[in-house]
Amino acid sequence: MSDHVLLALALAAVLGGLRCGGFWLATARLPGWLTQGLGFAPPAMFAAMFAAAITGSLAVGGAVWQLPVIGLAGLLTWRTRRPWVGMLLGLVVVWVGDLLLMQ
Amino acid sequence: MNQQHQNPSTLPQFRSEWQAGFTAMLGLWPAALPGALAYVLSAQQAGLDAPATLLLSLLAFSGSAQIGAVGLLALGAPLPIIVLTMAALHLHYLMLGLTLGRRLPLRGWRRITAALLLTEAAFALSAARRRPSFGFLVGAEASMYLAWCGGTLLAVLLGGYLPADLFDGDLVVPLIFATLLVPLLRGRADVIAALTAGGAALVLGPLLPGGLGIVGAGVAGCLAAALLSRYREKEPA
Repeated sequence: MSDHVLLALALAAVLGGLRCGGFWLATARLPGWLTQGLGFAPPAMFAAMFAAAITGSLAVGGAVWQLPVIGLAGLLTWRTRRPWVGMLLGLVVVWVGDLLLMQ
Repeated sequence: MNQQHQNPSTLPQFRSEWQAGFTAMLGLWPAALPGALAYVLSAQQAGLDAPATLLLSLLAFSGSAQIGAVGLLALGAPLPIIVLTMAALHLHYLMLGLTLGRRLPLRGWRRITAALLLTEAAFALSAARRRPSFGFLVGAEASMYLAWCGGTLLAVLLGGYLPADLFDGDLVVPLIFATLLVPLLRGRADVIAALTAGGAALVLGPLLPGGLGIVGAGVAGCLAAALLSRYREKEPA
């Protein structure tokens, strides 16, 4: 078995374990304050990942001009309540901007 | 015969929910394709051949883990280090499953099916619904699995014709996370949770290794919002 196939299998096992582990833990009896706190996990986790992604991208030379595009995409999503609208428009603006800046 | 087969409305209802989930995810397909391309270009740089590149997408089904893993591979990191690093970076899967599992209790094969293809996007779309359902969740997951693996295949076929730095320096991942975050902000406590977690991630990220900063920040956000909710419950009307 090649190292690359082994990597695929190992990564699948680890990620699968984490994904299944969360659902398995959900059946455990948890204290009330924890259950209430978990209700806020979706916005909290996404905000944490968003902040980490922003700083990570900028640390490796990410395009600063795209920050307002992210704001615009978020605003559009908020107005329409449809993530794909903001995402699609944001990606189009990023790609068009890249093309214009390359010229 | 179990209860599910005795109830004739269950299968059509599942099918309708599955279709709703699949369709809801279609909007995110354009975002999956550039990600798949970025992964394939990174995999080529790390020396993976086309079958191994595809296999990783089929089995791991995580853009960030795959790009991170082949990036480490290109740097010559040993396999155990790559796997441990990716596990630490993706501890948030544990929390996503835990949160969704509380709102959508599943057992047996349903739990395993729902868990194995869980992604941030499928989680966000399901969590944004008032009543998450198994059909909607697996429909959304199947849709993204198809987009990701199809995108990988397309990118493998196109890879030789595209410049390796096509998506370098673009803030595509934060853009995707931002549009997935916004629909989850439905009240003041949600906003407090997001602001606290975002701020905590900025502080904890450089201090903690792997994905522990993200998990810690998520926990901080949950605690802040839960404390606010409790305080408001105790306030006299």
